Formats: sequence, structure tokens, C-alpha cells
Amino acid sequence: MTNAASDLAIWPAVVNTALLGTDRAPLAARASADALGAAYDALARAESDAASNLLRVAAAASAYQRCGRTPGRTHEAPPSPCPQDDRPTCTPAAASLLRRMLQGEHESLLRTWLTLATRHDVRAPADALPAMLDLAGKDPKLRPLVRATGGTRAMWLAALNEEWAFGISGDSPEALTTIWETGTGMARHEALQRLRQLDPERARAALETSWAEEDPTNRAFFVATLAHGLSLADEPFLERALDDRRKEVRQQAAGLLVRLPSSALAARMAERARQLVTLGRSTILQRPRIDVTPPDEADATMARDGISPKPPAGGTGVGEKAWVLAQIIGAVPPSTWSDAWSLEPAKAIRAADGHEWREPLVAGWLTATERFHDAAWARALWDNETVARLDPKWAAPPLEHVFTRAASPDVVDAALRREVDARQDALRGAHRVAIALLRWPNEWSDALARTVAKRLKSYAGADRVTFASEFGMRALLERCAHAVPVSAADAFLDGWPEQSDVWPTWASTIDRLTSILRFRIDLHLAFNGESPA
Amino acid sequence: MTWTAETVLALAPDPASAKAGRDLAVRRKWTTLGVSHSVEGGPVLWGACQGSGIDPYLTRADTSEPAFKCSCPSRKFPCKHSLGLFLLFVQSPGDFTAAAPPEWVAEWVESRSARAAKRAERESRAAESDGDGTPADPAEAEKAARQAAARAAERERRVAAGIAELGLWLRDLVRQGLSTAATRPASSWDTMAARLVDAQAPGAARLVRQMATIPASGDGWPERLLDRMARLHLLLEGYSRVDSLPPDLAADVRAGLGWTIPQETLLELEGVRDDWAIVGRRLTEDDRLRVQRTWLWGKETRRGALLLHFAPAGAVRSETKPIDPTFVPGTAFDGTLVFFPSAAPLRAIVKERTATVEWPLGLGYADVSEAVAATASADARMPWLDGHPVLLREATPTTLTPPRVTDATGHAMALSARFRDRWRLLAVSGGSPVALFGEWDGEALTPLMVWGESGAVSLA
Repeated sequence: MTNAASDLAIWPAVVNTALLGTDRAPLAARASADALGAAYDALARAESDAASNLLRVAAAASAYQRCGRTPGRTHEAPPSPCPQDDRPTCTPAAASLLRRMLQGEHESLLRTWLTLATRHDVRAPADALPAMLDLAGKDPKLRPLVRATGGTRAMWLAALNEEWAFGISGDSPEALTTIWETGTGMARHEALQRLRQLDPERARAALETSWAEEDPTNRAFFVATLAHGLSLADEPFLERALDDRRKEVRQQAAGLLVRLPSSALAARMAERARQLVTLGRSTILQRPRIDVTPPDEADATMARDGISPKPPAGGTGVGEKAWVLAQIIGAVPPSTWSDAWSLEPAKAIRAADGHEWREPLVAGWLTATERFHDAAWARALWDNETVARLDPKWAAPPLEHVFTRAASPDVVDAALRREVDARQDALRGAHRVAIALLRWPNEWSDALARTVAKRLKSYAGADRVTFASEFGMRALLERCAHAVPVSAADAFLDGWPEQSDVWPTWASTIDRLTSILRFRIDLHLAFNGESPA
Repeated sequence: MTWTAETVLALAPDPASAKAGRDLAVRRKWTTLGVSHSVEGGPVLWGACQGSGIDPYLTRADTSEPAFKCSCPSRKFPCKHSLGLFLLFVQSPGDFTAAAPPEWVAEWVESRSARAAKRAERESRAAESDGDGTPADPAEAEKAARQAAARAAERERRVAAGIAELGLWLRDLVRQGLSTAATRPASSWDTMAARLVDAQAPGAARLVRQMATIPASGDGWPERLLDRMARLHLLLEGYSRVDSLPPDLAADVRAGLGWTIPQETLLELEGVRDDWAIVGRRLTEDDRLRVQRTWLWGKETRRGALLLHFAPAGAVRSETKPIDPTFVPGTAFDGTLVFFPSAAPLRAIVKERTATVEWPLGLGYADVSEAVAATASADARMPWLDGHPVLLREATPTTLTPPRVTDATGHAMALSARFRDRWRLLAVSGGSPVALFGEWDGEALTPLMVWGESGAVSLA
């Protein structure tokens, strides 16, 4: 045993003896003048067995240490405090709803919460930030919203945790450029996307600088990021990308150039289209007549402009000429035709009715209408379904998709409401109205929501429709839960035909719908400063 | 107490029940909804809820306790109907028609008050025979007292025998060395613990079971194990001369070995009235028992207090569900506590809760030095303390590893390795000083609650 200078040396000595066992290493007596030393001497020399003495000494030493404890010091510099965020925190009610969602309840409404908070310019409560950053780590689409509602606190926190690095790279083009230059994989891709949003020129310049060294498989992805903020300034680069060895890159670049009306590629496409399709008058009835000169096989210049010469696998029954024709028409704005022919879109579409080349014409128009967001053509196609309905083998966007994406929201809303109201089967099975409602990302008008509610109630009641027999009904109700405006929620909360004999097949899904709606009402109230009823 | 949607939902046995209850808190789910204010206590509610069967479920709730009864077959308690009914009442009392309770409700209320009356009668009888009230038959009473004394003496004898064996066992471990002890199978600790349970010293049994896990607990285990053994040995030696110890310390020895004090006895002791802030809550579970540790802090008394609530393990499925949900962290009440007798009183029971009060400001220790000094002083008075309540008015969580909190003077407390909510703690602090409550074991702090700009946040 050492003759230690301090009382504190007694404890390690006791532990050591205890480890070995008093049978092997008896606890040596130790004379000392200090307090624990004196107790030690008294206890260790007591007339007892060695083990008892050791336990007594240990108890004394342990108590001695605990009672004499002094506070520890750290030389770690205090953290730099988070910069002040001047925006108010959300209401306690909104905070409590957020915490419930972060624990898994109605997670699908998290985006709604974040959007509402951003709109009201309020912050998320600080304790929710780690869970929000974790979610944003998994879902890049949430990041701008999490950054906006997390504010300076989220940035401060993200700077401390590598997994949340996306949170800080945030809004500085310099930081994003650094990630692009030095990062790897998805991080680079996301940095380029974000940079493009902040500074389109700089993003394209960054891509051009490293273009030659980029892995050919990644190039198509990178070109696609230019879709945001696309302008004529991008044309020279995209035109060069048309000479890339990879087909995916060429097609991606061509798809972007097509959308630039004054690009050279757009002009080439327009010229091709003019040569293939012209308007005449039928000799007998003087009705508009579309004259189609079938194209030759796609040549090298067409291939360079992104036109694929052969229909893809699965396009059986699609001729090569028709396939090329559809692509060319799909690459020019549909207004080209209505303007050049001085013809309303509906009349132009009807002129394709029964036409030998109807399918490639319609396939091209559907593609172009969606691509150029032509509201008038979208509406005309929707109103002329018999002409505009196409077999999937043409790989054109479905009519419902074109209509809801390209027509003006008011027109879509009114058209769908009219059909739900007028047609008993509008929400059943694969009806186009049901499909359009599913595909339309906008919130419904109060009137549309109420009309849908009425129709659904008649299915569950008087029409005696069994829920399970309805393919797609579950998805439609799920969509209702999110698309119905809060002002019309009452139409879905009450008044269900609960006495109906088919009601039990509907009950659980309707319960889920109302549960989501009630939560949305609570969200709405919470952000407007009222506590949920 | 005043019920809110949050406190009602806190009664739910698991998150799924809470959600189901919320979904049933809708007018249209109920065919009848009634309330009666004529019953003593809180309002009594009832409702009929159409389930999947032919007959609706009949649900009753007495909001004073609260108590529930429902005709549904659910084994969860309270069931979703009970929660939904209560929640609907809290949210829109206007949906309930005030009326005299129908028969199926009145029966339940009566049976409950009959039970309560019987319980009260039993208690008052017990109090009488304890006090000066002269029992009917003196001979009977004398016999009963003799029997009780004999039972107590028998227990003392068994405990003495049990701890003599434990002392021998501890000394054996030390003679052979702790490195040998570490190689013993877990069953040898369990066997000793079981013998102590038989000897009616459950407190000592629990300490032995806790020791069993130490050899596998990583670096520093010999120190931790020896510390435990030494303190247990001290407890045994204390018991051997318990009659000569000061009464408070003697109470600590007896409590440590496993003697309990009947609630009635405690309630007769003098209480401490104050505004008590609920500063933290922790739930622990071993294979036998779930324990809810609720920490309070007195506004005027400036001391911590610990409430323990117990439930059998596995009785409730959710790990985070409180046993007694009425003590909501972040709230405060005016009330009277009775502390268990101890040289450093900490554990308490609530004698009376008078009213909910505003959160008292400025609670807790000014800095780390004050906290360490206060807890060390408690250790000096009572050597078997395990966890100290530490409420710091201003502590700054640090960002490097290992995690710590520091105060304005540069003193620091390390955070416990089992603390998992570091990021939420940092998020709430934002690098600035915050009020923080935790359990301090002398080495590390386990934070349980932090106060940020939006109020109290519980940590895990």
C-alpha cells in the first residue's frame, strides 16, 4: 500500500484489495493524520475479520468521496448561441398538433402543417426540430419547408450534426457550389437542384465546368435539373448536349429545348410539323380537313433532336411512321395549329375524328398540351373524349392527367362538379371523373366538395353500393380527406346513411376520412389562433 | 382537478386507445348523451355508442375520480368509448342533455358509493381501534394487539436471520475477491435475493438484484460494485444497532431493508404545505414492477420531493404511459405533502391537493456549485441516497462530446450515458442558458425536463 499524500488514495487501494480478495491481499493498515486516514485506521484495526473491515473502510471512503465532492470544471468554450429569430413561435395548439404528427398520428398532414406555418410566418417549437430534421433528411421535398419553419434554430442545430448538413447548406449559393465541387452522389445532385432555384446561371455554369468529367450515367439527371428556371441562356449548353453519346442525355436536353419557343430546336420541330400536317377543306361539306404527309423514317438529325425512330417495347401495333409523327406533333405547341388554321381547338380535334392518322395526331396533341400547359386545348380534349381517348400503347399522357394539369383550375373544378352532379356513376370504378379527382393536386372548391359528398352518401345509402366492390374507392376517399377545403368538411363529417344495409362496408373507411378531416380542422383553427373545439 | 383534452387523453392505456378515443369524441357516434350534476363529486356522464354489434355500448363516467364503466368487451381500461365520452364532454359539454341518471347509470353510481361507504367505514373502524376509542371487548383487543406484536417480532427475527446470511455472503465475496465474484452466474445473485424476500427484507433483495448487473456494466465496475456492497454492508451493520440510532436514520435503515410505513400512519404525520411544481417524471420498469418517479419542487420550502407510484410490470402495454396521469409535468399545485421519515427526507406522499396554481418562477439552484453542495450535504446525512433532484435555474448544454451542462461560472455536470434526448435538449436551449431538471447520481445528470421559450419540455 502506498503512503499516499491524499485521503483520496485510500479508495483505489481498497478497490484493488477487494478485486483480489482479502484472502490473498490483506488490507494493510495505514497511519495517517487526516480525517479519513484516522477513520481508516480505526476501522481497519477493529477486532473483526478482514472482509468486514474492508467493507467498513470502503463504506467510509465512499461516503467521504460523495460528501466531499466539488463541482467539475470544463474548459470547453460555451457554444455560440443561436441567432435570434424574430418571427413568433406557433400557437401552443399548433405546437401540440405538430408533436402528435411527429409521433406518427396523421403523418400525411405534416406537409400541411409546415405549409400553414410558412404561410403564417411562424416558427415550429424548438423541441420538435430534431424530429423534423430527421424527416427532412429522409425526404428532400420537405427540406425547404423545414428550413422555413425551423428558422435560425434549425440551422444552428443542423450545424452540429453531420446528418443534418442539408439544413445549413441551405440558402447560400457559395456553400452549394462547394458541395457540388467536393461532394458525392445524391448530395451533389440536391445541391445543384437547390442552386438552380437560387441562381440559375450559376447552376448551369457549375454544371458546364465539370461536364466533361461527369459520369455519363449521371449526366441525364443533371441536365434534368435545368428544367427549373429554364431560359434561352441555357440553349447553347443544351444544344451541345444533343451531341452526347447517351440517348438519355440527348432526349433530356431535347425535351428542355422543345419548351423554349425561340430555340433552334423548337424552330426545327415546327418546320418538320408544318411539312407533315396541313389543313385543307373537304370538297363536299367545306368542313376542315387535316392532310397528313407521313414522315420518312427518322433520320440522324431527328434522332439528334430527341426523336426515337421506333416505338418502345409494348408499343405493338404502333407503326414507325405514326410514332415519329406523334413525337413531332408532341414537340410543337398545340396553339400552333389553332393559330395557323384559325380554328378553335375543339374544331381541330373534331377534324381528327375518324381520320386515318387520328391516333398519332391525338397522341401528339395530348403530349404537347401537357408539355406547354395549353388550357384551351386541355379543355377541348376533355370535352371531346370520343376523339381524345387513346390506347395506352401510344405512351401519351392520359386524358385525365392532361386535363387536370393543363386546364385552368376553375375550369377543372367546374367541369368535374358538373359531371359528379349529373352522372350517377361519376365516382365509381374507373370513371374518368374519379380518375381526374385522384390526379388533380389542387384543393377542391367548396361546391365541388359538397357535390362529391352528396354523391358518396347516395352510394352508401340509396344506391346500395358495397364499398369493397369499388376499385379505387379507398384511394378516392383518401384523396377527399386531403382535397376537401376545411370550409366544406362538415359535409363529410355528418349525414352518412348509417341505417343503410351496406353502411357497415363503408364505416371504417369513412371513419378514417372524418378523423383526418377533423385533424385538418384542428390545424386550421390552431393557426388562426383558436384552440381546437 | 379541471379536466382538459390533454389530461383526459393522458388516461389512455396506449396511443392507439387515445386515437380511437379521439375519433369517438364526436356527437354523431352517440345515440344518447346525458349528464347529471346531482351526484356528489363531479358530474356523471353517460352515453350509448353504436359499435359493430346490435346493441349499442353503454358507457358511464364519473368525472370526479375519474371512474369508468362500459358494456363493451374491451380489456383495455379505460376503453375507447369511455375516453371518447369523457373527451366529448370536455370539448363540447353542450352536446350532453342534463337529466336524472337512467337506471343503468344510477345503479352503477349507487354501487360505487356503497363501496366507498364501506371503505370509509372500514378505515374509521381501523382508526378507532388504533386510537383512544375503546374497543367493545377489551379482552379481544388485547388478544389482537398481542397477535400483532407477535407478528412484528417474528418478522424482526426473520429479517435478522436473513441479513446475517447476507452479511456472511458479502464477506465471502470480498474474501474471494470481486474478480471471482464477477464470474459467478447470475443465478447466485438471484438465489441470495430470493432468500432475502423469504426473510421479509425486500429492500435488501432489490439491492442485491441491482448488484448482479454491475460486473457486466463496463469500465469502472469494480468501484461501482464495491460501493454498492459497502453501502449494503453499512445498512446491515446499521440494523444490528438500529435501536441506538437517531430516529430518522433508523427509519432510513428500516426503509432500506424493506419495511414499509402504512399510508394511514404517514398521513398522521405533519405535512408540508407549499406550492409544489412538478418538475420531472420518469418511468422505470423491471421484470416485476413499473415505477413512476414524479419529482416535485417546493416554492417556499425550496426543496425537492419524490412521489413513487407502482404498478405491476406488463399491466399496461405502453412504456411511456404514466401510472398516475394526474401529476402533469410542467404544472404546479398548492398542496400538502408528507415526507417519509428520513435523515434527508425526499420521498413523500400527497396528503392534499388544494388547487392548481401558477408556475412558481425562480425555482432551483443558482448554479452547479450550489447543487453539488446541497446534494453532498444530503449524502452526508443519509448514506443510502441514490438519485438527487437537481433543478438548475440557468444551465447551458454543451455541443461537444461527452455532453455536459455548464453554468455561468464554468462549472459543469456531465450528462448520463443513458440520456438519449440530447438533441432535443440542445434544440430547446439554442446554445443559451435554460432551466433544467434532472436526477443527479453524484457522477452524472439525467435530464428529465427543460424549460424553453415555449414552456416545459419533458425529456427521455
